[in-house]
This record gives sequence, C-alpha cells and structure tokens, in this order.
Amino acid sequence: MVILGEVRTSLLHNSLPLPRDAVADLLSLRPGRQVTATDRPINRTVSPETVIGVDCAIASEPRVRARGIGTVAAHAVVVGGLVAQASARVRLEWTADRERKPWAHYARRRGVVEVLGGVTAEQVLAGYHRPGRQADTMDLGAVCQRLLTQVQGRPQLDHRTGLRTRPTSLRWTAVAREDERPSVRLHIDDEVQRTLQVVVPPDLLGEAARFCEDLALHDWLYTALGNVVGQAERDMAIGADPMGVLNAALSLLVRLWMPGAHVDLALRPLWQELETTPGFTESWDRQVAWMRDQVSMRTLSALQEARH
Amino acid sequence: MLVFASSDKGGTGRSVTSCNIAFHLAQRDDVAYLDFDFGSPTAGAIFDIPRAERGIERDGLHTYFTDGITDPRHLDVWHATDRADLRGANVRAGRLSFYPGEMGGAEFAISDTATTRCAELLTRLDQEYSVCVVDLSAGRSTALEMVLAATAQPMMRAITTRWLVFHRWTRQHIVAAHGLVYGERGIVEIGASAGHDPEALRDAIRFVRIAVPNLKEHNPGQTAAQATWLFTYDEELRKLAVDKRLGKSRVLGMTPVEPVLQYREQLISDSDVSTKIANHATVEAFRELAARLSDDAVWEGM
Amino acid sequence: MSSLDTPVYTEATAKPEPRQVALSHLSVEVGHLYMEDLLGGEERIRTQFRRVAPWLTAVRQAQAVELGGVKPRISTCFLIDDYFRPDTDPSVIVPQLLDIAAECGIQIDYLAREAGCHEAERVPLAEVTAAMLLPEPPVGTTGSRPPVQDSGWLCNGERSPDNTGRQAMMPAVAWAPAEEFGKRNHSIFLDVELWKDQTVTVDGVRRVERKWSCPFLAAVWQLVRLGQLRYAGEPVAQPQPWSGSWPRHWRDLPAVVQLSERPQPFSAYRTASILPKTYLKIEHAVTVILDHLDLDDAVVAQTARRAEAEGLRLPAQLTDRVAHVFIEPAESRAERAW
Ligand SMILES: Nc1ncnc2c1ncn2[C@@H]1O[C@H](COP(=O)(O)OP(=O)(O)O)[C@@H](O)[C@H]1O
Ligand SMILES: [Mg+2]
Repeated sequence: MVILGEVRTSLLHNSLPLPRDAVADLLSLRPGRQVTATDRPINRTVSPETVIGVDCAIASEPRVRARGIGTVAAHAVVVGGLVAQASARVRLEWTADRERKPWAHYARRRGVVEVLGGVTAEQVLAGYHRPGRQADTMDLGAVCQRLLTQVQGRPQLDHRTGLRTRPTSLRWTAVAREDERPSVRLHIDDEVQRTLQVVVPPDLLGEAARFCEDLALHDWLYTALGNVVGQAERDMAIGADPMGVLNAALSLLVRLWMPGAHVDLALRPLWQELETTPGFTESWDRQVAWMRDQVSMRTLSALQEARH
Repeated sequence: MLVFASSDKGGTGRSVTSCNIAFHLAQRDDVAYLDFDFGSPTAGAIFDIPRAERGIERDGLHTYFTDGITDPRHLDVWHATDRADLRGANVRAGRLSFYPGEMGGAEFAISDTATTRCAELLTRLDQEYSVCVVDLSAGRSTALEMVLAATAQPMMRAITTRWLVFHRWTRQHIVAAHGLVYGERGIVEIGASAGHDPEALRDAIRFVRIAVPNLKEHNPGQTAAQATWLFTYDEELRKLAVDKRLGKSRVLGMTPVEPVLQYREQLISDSDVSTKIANHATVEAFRELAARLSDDAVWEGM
Repeated sequence: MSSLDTPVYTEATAKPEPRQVALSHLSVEVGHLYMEDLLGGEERIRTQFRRVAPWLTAVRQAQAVELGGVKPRISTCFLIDDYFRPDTDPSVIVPQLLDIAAECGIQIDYLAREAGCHEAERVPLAEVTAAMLLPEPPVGTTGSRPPVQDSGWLCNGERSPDNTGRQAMMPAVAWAPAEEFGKRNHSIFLDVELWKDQTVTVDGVRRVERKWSCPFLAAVWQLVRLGQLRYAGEPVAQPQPWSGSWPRHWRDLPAVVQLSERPQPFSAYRTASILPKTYLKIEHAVTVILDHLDLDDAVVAQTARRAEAEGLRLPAQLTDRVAHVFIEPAESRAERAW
C-alpha cells in the first residue's frame, strides 16, 4: 500500500495570530462539514476534506505507461493561528481494469486513485521523488496551492504581512510494510522543496499524513528562521537595524516549535530519528539563542547610550 | 510593496529602467520582477537570460492567466544571467526573481477570473518579496486595467502599492503621460471605477523622466544658437510638465541619456562604470530611483 | 448553541459519528403535479392519483419480494412545488389534495415542500449539496488546473471546445462534438443547469441571488429521502407533525410535514418515485447530479453498516438505490396548449 502526498506551508496572511474561533471560521470551507480542532499543546485546526477528480499519467522511474483514475483529497491546516498548510494526498490501489469505470465508483472512494497498467509500486515511488514533475502527470502541488490560495484569500484575514517568509513544499510518500520498524528519510532538494519517504506498519498508514504535515511545519519554521537570521545579518552588514525582523520572528515563530506534539504516539520515534540526524531542535535552539542575544545586546547598548 | 511600471507610449525606457531599479533594490532586499508586457515579453533580454530572451516556452505568466496553472515559472536572475559580473557580485544581495511571459504569448481578454488570479498572485508574492516590480504594457492595456481592478480588491487593500509612469523628455511624451494618468479612461478614472479612492491613487503615482539630456554638459559641436534654443525649449517643457501635473513634486526621478542603452537594453552595473563603458551618472540615477521608491517620505500625500 | 451560527468544533481525535436517522426500507413518492395542475381543478389531480394507485401497490409488492419474508417498512410522500410558485395558498391546496388521494386509496404519510430542499429550518440544504459536487475529470486531468466545469453547470461528459478567454492572435480551436464519458458507441450528452445567479438590488444594496434549478432541488430531495444529508453531523429536514388548520403561506409549514399517525420513517434505504413521464428528463438530470457527489463518507459507511446489520442487500452506488415508475401525464402539454 502506497500513499503519495504533498504539503505546502506558509505564514497565514495576517498581521497577528488569528484567535481560535476565527481560525475555525476561516477553515469552514464546505458548508455543513465539520472543522476539527485540537487545543493542546497548541491549537491545530483542520478544514473539512475537499476532493477533486483526476485521470492522468502517473510518474514513474524508469518510465512505464501507467494511468491513475480517482480523486485527490486535500485539507487545510492552521497551527497556532499563524501557519497555514495545505495537504493533498492519494492512496494508490492497483487494479486489473483496462478502462475507466462509471464516475460514481471513484466518487465514493475519497482520496483513492486506481492505478491501471504494469507499473510497480517501487517505480511509482522513484518517479514521484524525482526532482521536477514529469509533464502531464498527477499534480498534487497545484491542488495544494489552490487550496492555500483559497485560504489566504479569505475575508477573515487582514492580509497584512507580519514577517516576510517563503512558502515551502514537501512531497512525501508513505509505504506500508508488515513487520518493519517505522523509518523516515528526509531530503532537502533546494531552498523551498523537500522530499520525505516514510515506511510504517499497515495499521499506521492513515497516521502518516499527520506526521508529514507536522514535519513540514517544523521544516518551514526552521527555514523561515534561517532566512530571518540571513536578513538580520544583511541588515547589520550595511548598518541597518535588524531589530524589526528579529523581534517579529521571535514573537511569532518561536512558540510554535513542538516537534511531534500532534503526531500519533506510535510514529513519534520517527521524529527521534530526525533529531539525531540532521538534528532539528538543537540547532533551532541555537538560532533562537543567537537572535535573543542580538536583541538583548542591542537593547543594552541602546540603554547605555541613552544614559550617556 | 508592489510597484507598477507603466507608460503611455512604447519605447520610453520603461522596461530597461524598471529592471535596473529592481536590480538595485535587490542588492539588499528580496525582489520579484514580473513581466506583464503580455504583447511583447522581452525583459529576459535586459537581464541577459538567453533562455528567456523573448519569454519562456511554457508555464509562464500567460499560461498562469489564461490556463489556470498555479505556479508560473520564475528564474533566479543571479543564476540565470549570462553576465558573469552580476553572478555572485554581492554575497549579501537579496533574491532577484524574474517571472517571464511566454514566447509567442499575446494579450488576452480581461475577465473576472484573470483579475482574481492577478490579485492572488500579487498578494502571494507580496508575502514573499519585499518589492514586486510589475512591468505593464504600454498605454491603456489589458495589463493595466487588470492590475487596477486587482489592486482594488479587498484582499489587496492593505498592500502598499506604487505606480510609476515613464516618459521621455519631449512635448508629445509629456502630453501623453498626462493623458494616461489624468485623461479620459486614464489610470485615475479607470482606477476609481474599479473601486480605488481616486485621491489616494493619484497620490500613489510618480513620474519618471527618461533619457533627459544634460544641457549643462559642455558640448563642443554645439552652436550658440542651438544652445540657446535648447535652454529655452527645456524651460518650456518644464512649464508644460507643471501645467500637466507632472511637475517636480510628482516626479520620482530622472535618468540621463546613456549611450550604452542607446545601443543595448541591459542592466548597468558598477563594473560597467569602472570600465568606463557606462556613465557613473546613469548608475547613480538608477540607485537614486530605487532609494526614493522605497522612501516613504517621498510618497507622503500632497 | 445553535449549530447554524457558530462553527462546530470537536477534538480532532474524537470527531463524533454523524447522528443517525430512522430508515424505512423504501420511500415511495406518489406522483407529482405542477402548481398549475394543482390549481387546475380536482379532475386533473384525481386522474393522476388514479394512475398512481396500482403502481403503488406494485412497488409495495416488489419491495416485499426483495425482502423475502421480512415485513417491509414503506413510507409514502408527496412533494409540493412551492419554490417556483410560493404565491399559492396551502389552506386551499392541501386539503383538496389529501382528500382526492384518500379517495383514490393513497395514503400520503409525508408532505414535503420543494422550497425546503433549498433551505429547511434555516439549514441551506442546496448550498450544502452544491459543496459536495465532484465533477468528472476528462482524460488528462492532472489537477494542475481548476476543474473546467462552468459554474452552475454539470455535465456527464466533455463539452465541445470553446474559443473564449484565449490569447490574441491564437489559432481558433477546431470544433469537436461534446462526448459522454463511458458512452456505449454513441453519446447521450447531458449538460444540466444547477443554478442561475442574478444580481438584484434590495434597499439599494446589490447582491447576487441564486435561483436553484428544479433538477438540482430534486437531487436534494432524493438525498433527503435517502437520509444522506447532515449539517455538521446533525440530521436535516426532519419530518414534523402538523395539527390544526393549514396556513395561508407555504413558508409557515415545516420542510417535511408528517401527515399520518405513526407512519414508517420518512427516510429510507431506497426510494421509488411514481411520476408523470414529463419528469423523465429531470430524473435523468438528478441521476447525473447524484453520480457526481462527494457524499459524507461517515454517513455512507453508517448506512451500509446498518443495512448489513439488518441483513439487507444495499447497492454501493447511490443511484442504484433509486427507482422510478413513469406514468402517463395528467394531460400532455401539447393538449393543454390547445
Ligand atoms: N537613459 C537612457 N538613455 C538612452 N537610451 C535609453 C535609456 N533608457 C532606455 N533607453 C533605451 O530606450 C529603448 C526603449 O527602452 P525600453 O525599456 O525597451 O522601453 P519600453 O519598455 O518603454 O518599451 C531601449 O533601446 C533602451 O535601451
Ligand atoms: Mg518594454
């Protein structure tokens, strides 16, 4: 069993964190369907699922003719009233069919794409993780982007940019393997693109998406903080004041760091693997400490100057 | 901040000047340059990006508007340019991302969908870049109408938006620039009908005078009569500009005549100046334009 | 707290099951009349009910055979066209209708209003249903672009290519016929108008008003009868008993009125509709709509589990649970025009 997914993460387009009720309102994207929210340890709100139909080639490596028919399921997530994510995924099911069935067959299997043709799961996984999307194959990124654009355009937001950040995108696959320990492999493709491979026991396949969303969130936080440090250093190099960007980042981003908080207990060991290599929290803490040092040093010298 | 570059006429120097402004802004900030000159997408040539000289083959801005793709392609100018002196010249530079149009792309009909998509794209990029420079087509174009409608949408109200109108220093150009801003179906009128506050919109417009001859410069080939005529006529143009509400307080800046640009559309870097190929005054003019563009004091209401 | 004016949250880990509704085996719609027919004299109404009665008996029998020994739970219902003609008087129409039905041996258990398929007890059922639409992708749909579906229309295939909204100086796209998805040799292409938006000015304020089409409301009607709609997990358009006299306005009645005492449940595993043949095309459109919905999967699963627990066979596809009997119309339109 294989799941392909993509998560796009960006800062919610609002000057301040959005209160929890407003977030629920923001994510009520389908009338009549429920928004779900957890409040501990930090608010995480999830929109109802949206679905769209696809019928197209499936990327594979080496290239084999394969067709996927079915639906992509996607939802939006807001964490801490501050970070917006769009998450799209499909569960692949191999079929011996040679033609498309009546649409109602696919319509009632949300998030399932049936694979027609002689492609293997390994080939599909390899094709999905290749950098750059093969032309005319399934595009989960676009599904995410449209959903994210929809959320970012909602009237609940004031559309003021509190901190300039870059959206990131994480493409993931989850494979169910009997009798295997959960494992994870993260690859940083470039400044904004990541790929992630997860192996889990079959009963935990459904939890994989949440783990990937959590990882995407923290990877984005980590990237955003890195960019803030870069901007601050650039400001300092030309004698400009870095306090604005440092303060904004410290007040907005830092409290969101809670790796694994919303992940199923059985999958938390995956986080521990990542904490060992490349090591997330340790270097996050070091960056935060550097930023705080800058802020306090500057505040101190400003105070001293004022006294003279 | 969003900066829209417009002009009534083609060939004014709008693209070359706005590319150079973007280049200077990107020395310390993240900047995006969007080629909305849908009829003739050519900004790639100015950045010296051979594979995007006349636009890219697919998934450019045209397709974004007409075909509904979500991620129009963009190129990192520092990496994609053929000019070695720009690559890695400033290790502390911000990003300079170029969003090209498409080869063989053409103007398309304006629609509510295109306007919404425009607002979405600009809002999204404003979150990511400190400045987005949008090069529009000349005159009363689809692009101009579309961005006026898009920026009037509630979702874009909070974004700082500045409008530049480029013109040459001639009688016709001054009259034409006036018409584009204040005239019938001009920026202010169309903007107001799209939902802009006309006064606020007017205050967010500045003019840029391109290739203004420097009369104080010693010119050995000139007769005394010529010099007198030029001085008198220059003075008349100044008066005309004031009459037409293109006077000093509404001018962001000017660029001198630059011989290099008369031959080739390109970025003028410090190395062009140090090799004495381009004039120092030209780079200074671009730098000044970039500085004044992001200086809020320059843009306070009149 | 009303579930209508505030978003409902639950802890993500414990999203409650949607609430259940009571289910009959079969819900039978015993005829349908345009408002003009209802106003057009007793005879027209009588003619139709006379034609419906034997089919009602047949449908009951068919259900009994299907259940093989289990006593069937069957309820009957009748839908009033008050959405397009709210200007008529229920206190005149309803008693007459019920009298003639009884006279023809038809007991109507539930009376429903078409306007209730738009909005029932402040729940916007049509809007909820519109949000479930899941258009069928043409071959080559990757998800890169938004679905090409025209807003307000749904079709069972691929439309002819169009030449609007394209770039200047582009060669025009060659004409091609529309094509039904999964056709057998030849296409029966159907493009259904689901709604029409109109800009109206009320007290100087311009706003968009949406008029839902008859097939769309008829699809909602089927969903309600099949017990498939919920609003934030809560049942919608639940029947309410009515005693006393009939009001002068349809809007003063609940969406679904319970008429008989202790009838079988209004919603059912399956539906059968006995309708004049003039409704064939509407029901075709209803089938297309029902085949293109992303239903609430928790409700779907719940219904399947209950059927299984009862030992019932239930087709997975919703439209396979919907049956029709088409009868001769009360008076053909052409005749009426004479
Ligand atoms: N300051 C200048 N001095 C001389 N030539 C210039 C100057 N600025 C621009 N040009 C030249 O003017 C021409 C038109 O400029 P361009 O930017 O292509 O105009 P537009 O975008 O308004 O059509 C180009 O050949 C350009 O190099
Ligand atoms: Mg140009």
